[in-house]
Amino acid sequence: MDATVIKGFVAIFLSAILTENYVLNKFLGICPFLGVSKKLNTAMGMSIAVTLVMVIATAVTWPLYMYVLVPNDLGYLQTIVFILVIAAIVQFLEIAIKKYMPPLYNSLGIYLPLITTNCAVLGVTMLVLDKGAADPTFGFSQSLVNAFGSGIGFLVAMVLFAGVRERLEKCDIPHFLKGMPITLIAASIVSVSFLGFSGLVDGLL
Amino acid sequence: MKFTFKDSILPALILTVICAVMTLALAGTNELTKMQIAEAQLEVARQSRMVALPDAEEFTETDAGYYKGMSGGSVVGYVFEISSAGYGGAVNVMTGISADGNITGVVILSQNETPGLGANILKDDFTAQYKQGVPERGLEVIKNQAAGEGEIEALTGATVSSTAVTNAVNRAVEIYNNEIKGGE
Amino acid sequence: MTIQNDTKKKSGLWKEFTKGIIKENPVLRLMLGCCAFLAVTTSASNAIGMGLATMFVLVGSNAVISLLRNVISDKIRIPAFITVIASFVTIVQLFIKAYSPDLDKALGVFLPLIVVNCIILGRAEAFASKNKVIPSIIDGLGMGIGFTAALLLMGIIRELLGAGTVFGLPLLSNFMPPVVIFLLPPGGFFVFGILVAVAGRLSKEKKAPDAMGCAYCPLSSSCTQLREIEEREGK
Repeated sequence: MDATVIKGFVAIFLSAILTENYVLNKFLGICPFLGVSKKLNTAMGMSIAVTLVMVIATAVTWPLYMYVLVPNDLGYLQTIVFILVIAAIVQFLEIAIKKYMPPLYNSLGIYLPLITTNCAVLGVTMLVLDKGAADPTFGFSQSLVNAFGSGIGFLVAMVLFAGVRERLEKCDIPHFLKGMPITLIAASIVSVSFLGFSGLVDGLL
Repeated sequence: MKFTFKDSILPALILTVICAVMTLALAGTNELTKMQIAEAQLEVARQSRMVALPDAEEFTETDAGYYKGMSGGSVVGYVFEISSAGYGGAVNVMTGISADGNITGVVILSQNETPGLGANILKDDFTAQYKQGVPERGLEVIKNQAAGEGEIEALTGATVSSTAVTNAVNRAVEIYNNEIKGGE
Repeated sequence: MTIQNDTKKKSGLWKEFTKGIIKENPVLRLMLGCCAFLAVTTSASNAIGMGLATMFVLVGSNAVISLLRNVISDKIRIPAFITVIASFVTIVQLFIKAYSPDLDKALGVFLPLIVVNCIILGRAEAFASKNKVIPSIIDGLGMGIGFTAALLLMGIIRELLGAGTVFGLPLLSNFMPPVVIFLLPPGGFFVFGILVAVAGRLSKEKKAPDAMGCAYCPLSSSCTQLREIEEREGK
């Protein structure tokens, strides 16, 4: 593999985490971001499960779309096929992990069913196809790197935000803003900090 | 648990039937809308070409991938469709260049830039800057100062998006300079 | 007697209709469908387009799921619901592509992502799978209008402050320059937070929701387990 290809992978990975962060820049996966980010442990568990499913789902849906749906002129079935494939993968993973890796199941099993309706997972499988359509060099391996980076980006956002929320719990918040409003405003400020990364990846490489 | 028809086969059967019926409905809708979608895309492309090269009355596609604009039997200009990498993905730009060497119009066909910043490349104020004589080397993006000949003033906070459009226009200029101007 | 019954029935349906608009507004009170809500509200016209598309899917899937409620057994519930919802989403997608390509471009990936909008699966689970067809359609309409109204409100606020326009008409140009951050992600979170606070204040309980509206989600059992873990660890 020559240097430019590796450089390309690094750029895709970094920009998926920082400048194209799914939660804070693209508004994908907001539900788990707001719902399960109260404690650091659960935030970590959820993000690892999401990353795992994102990579596996992309590995399945990408060839399925390119080699089955498109050649048969069935592109319009994309939405329904992708969501059913993701649902099946999640079910299958749950069964497989339960049977062969019980300790992993104990820590991740509970998050898996929630991932079927996580829009970040369906989002990544569709967005990599958009990227591929715009840039012919963005192929299968680039898509996998992008999916992995997006998952890690989700993890970074979740973990950062869990830290913020743990602190918020101890603060004296105006009654008017208690509960969800202050959480959203905190999310707004965290997302301001991610705006600062714009242009960073292009500048680095 | 007993393996019975009611508990295991029937649900699977029902699910299969639901899937089959829904897929049929989708295939029907697809047939119904297919023509309209294709037409809508053609119409958008045709109208964009008219904006990029207003003098032309009709367009013919060449083998090299660009369009020739014709009016009264003679070639009045060329339209190029080029995509370049922006901030949020690909930016598709249509550039019209007249036969006498002026950029006649720039149309952003599709973009995925940040609303409020990069998405301002859609505004006429920005795209109007490109209407100038075809430069020798290509246009240059500058920041925070008024643009002169051969220069494009970048949008505030959206240098990447401005550069993406300029790169696409420059690519069109390059094709024009190398393949068309020299060849005729 | 019959007249009384009739009015009773009507007021019942009216209640199903209005609850989604104010009392149980899906986004502002139940915190469902946040992703689309935050992403497409950079302009009022996008907001309306998203709202109407979601409403169509909601009404269609509610009607079909309610019709099928006696044949769909518990085991195949989720895949069956997802299939029905995904089909309606694809139908909307195809029609928007055909008749409004600009809207298709503006909504981008969030159009197919209506599939995973919790409002739709949530209503299928909480209402359509337990009620008759007509009430289910009314419920879908009410929730759809509630979602559209919330989207429109947020779209107008963000477009007005962030670009100085509403539906593309310049309104603020003479008073103040636009504050671009309202169109950017931070502005989305911020306006959403304020709207939730205001909606909470105006509601009966006089307070904003503490957490996501998982109660209506078909996957809530996992969520509840998670909550318990969080609480156990918190103590």
